Amino acid sequence: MSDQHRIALLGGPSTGKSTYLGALVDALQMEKLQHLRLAGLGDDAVGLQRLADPLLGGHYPQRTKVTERLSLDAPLHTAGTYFDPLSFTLRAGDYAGEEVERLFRDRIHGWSEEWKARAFSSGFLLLVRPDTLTRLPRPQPTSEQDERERWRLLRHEPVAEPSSVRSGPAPVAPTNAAAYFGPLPVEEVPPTPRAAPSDPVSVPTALSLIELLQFIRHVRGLAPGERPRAAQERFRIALVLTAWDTVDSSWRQAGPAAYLAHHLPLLEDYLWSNFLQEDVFRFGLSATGGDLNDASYSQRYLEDPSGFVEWWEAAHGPHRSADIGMPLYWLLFGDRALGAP
Amino acid sequence: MALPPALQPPRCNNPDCTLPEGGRCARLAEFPNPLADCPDLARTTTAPEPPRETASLSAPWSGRHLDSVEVERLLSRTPARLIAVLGPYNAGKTCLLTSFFLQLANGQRASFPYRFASSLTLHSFRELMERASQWTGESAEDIVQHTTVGADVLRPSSFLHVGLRPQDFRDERHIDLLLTDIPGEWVKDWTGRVDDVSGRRMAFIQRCDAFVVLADASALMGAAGGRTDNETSLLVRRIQEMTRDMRPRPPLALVLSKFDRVIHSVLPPAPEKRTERTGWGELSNRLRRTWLALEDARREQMPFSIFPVSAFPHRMAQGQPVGVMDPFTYAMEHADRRAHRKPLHTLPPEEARGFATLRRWRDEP
Repeated sequence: MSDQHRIALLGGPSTGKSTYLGALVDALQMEKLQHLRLAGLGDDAVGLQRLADPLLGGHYPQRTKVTERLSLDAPLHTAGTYFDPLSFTLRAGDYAGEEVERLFRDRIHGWSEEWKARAFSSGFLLLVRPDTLTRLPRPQPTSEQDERERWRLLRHEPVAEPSSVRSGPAPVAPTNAAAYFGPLPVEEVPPTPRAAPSDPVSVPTALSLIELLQFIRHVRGLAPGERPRAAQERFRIALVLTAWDTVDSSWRQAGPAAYLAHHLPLLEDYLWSNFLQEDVFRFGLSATGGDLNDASYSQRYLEDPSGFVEWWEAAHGPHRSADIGMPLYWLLFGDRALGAP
Repeated sequence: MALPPALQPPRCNNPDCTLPEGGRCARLAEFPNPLADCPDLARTTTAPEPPRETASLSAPWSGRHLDSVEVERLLSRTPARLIAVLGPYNAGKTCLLTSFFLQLANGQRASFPYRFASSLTLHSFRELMERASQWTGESAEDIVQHTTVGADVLRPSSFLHVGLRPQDFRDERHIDLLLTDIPGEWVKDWTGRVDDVSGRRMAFIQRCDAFVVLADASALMGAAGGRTDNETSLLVRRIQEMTRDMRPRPPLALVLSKFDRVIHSVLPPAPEKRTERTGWGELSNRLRRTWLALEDARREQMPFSIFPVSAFPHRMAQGQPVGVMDPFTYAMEHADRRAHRKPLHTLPPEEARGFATLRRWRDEP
């Protein structure tokens, strides 16, 4: 493995990039990451010095301005015996989330050298914030009404009560693959259910992220729809749902994969079409474990800064870890990371 | 004293800018005096200037509608499928395309057996979707803007692009789907007369894999319904004529658009009866000329089917469209027809663990 790992954080405005980086830096300094340790300061320690500052004051970082971007540039080594010994420099840059949107709208000036360099990162953390998604959660099975019934509904004729009206739990990821093949670390993304006639139609919110991924693949020489298979072409994408603590409990039980399939089906389709399943994984992350805008929680956080990560495995069901480095471990070490103690 | 070099008309690198043609600067909000300040605008002199370095900062593609040259390039590089979406002015062509993409984006593929894989025109799709999301539900109001094709008459930008992957995971193909988004006036001109201009504009017809023809169901049922029927029948006949030498004949999906506006008078027949004239009640009388044209097409081995569609029966926040994916499913069934080998039905032994079984099988002498 090379001695440099550049991890790119991708995400629109207010998706929690700075918060996650800040929490990671603090966890590294407090030796709260189970499997990674700082191996010195390196030449540029400004990121280490300043990224965690706001969280140490018990509040969220201000939105990143273009002139104030910081990057994490940290020499690290693995700790413990679970992963093979490895020393490397982790580089993860922060930037204003508006840049992603600007890149989508302004094709003339946005695709900077910095973005092109970022495209060659060894792994990508794709941050999505659930409460910025416009699609409303629908934690119940939806209708399978056929087209003819839908036309009757438009005529205001009575039709059989659809099953969707009954409330129920959020869909759970299927376990049939595990039942047949035995334990598999690859998660199963459940299909998006058919919408009920009265469900809103939403403008997809992830178009700028998808376009960015298309640009990244283009720069890396990957054709559309080509799932990279050769070792030198493959890279991992960790889809991270931030502020996971704010998500409805039924969705949290269903897991990040089910949540994304329901709320960002276009992004899920894109990832399914362009990557091997084992190169994409989905996490729910609460970098601070709760809402720092709540004064009492902020006080508790100052006393014991902690967050958590949740994910769903087809073979083993839901998992939770207090180690917020888990998405990072997965980017670095793949599915083996999911079994880390 | 030498005179300064003469100023040339301004050029702009921003594809949304129409200022050089006397229109509006795309970045007017940022630069109130674009002629003086906008960095996208280049006013050259007759003296050669060093090349601008914006190219290196430009994104790999514009995200807007593709023009004919870009489409030609794509068609020569990949076995792309081209579906012509045709119909008179205000038939709902762009609404259908917008709703189609919205359904894909909302995970509502229904019977459409493909998943989204890429798009070179995401920016255009978003503009269309955002515009549609602002529609208040008033039928007199435009849901999306009427289609124009940009300032460049020689290279009109009139194609939307979606890359698709068959939802069968074993099928590794990426299929480029090109959809025409052209003004109804062009269709009308071409239906009436194929001359140099209309022939050039509609040159893509010869390369089409399927046709989606729209007829406004509410117009058909209205006082001037005969005119809509006539326009539609002539369009069907024009397509039939222009594709006579193509083998296999590309299919034609007749979309009866805005069906929500006639749903109280006509309930669409079951899917298997849609090509039977008797199933459409009052509408079959209103489509007399079109039926004759379709029956002619059928005699010439041109497959067709009819689809009731309501792309925007209400505001987007109030509910789903009906029938939008069906004509595209039908078109792709034909356009993406290929021989499939039968899958091997080798059942693993009972209690076998799949991967281990395969490994043992391979190791057998």
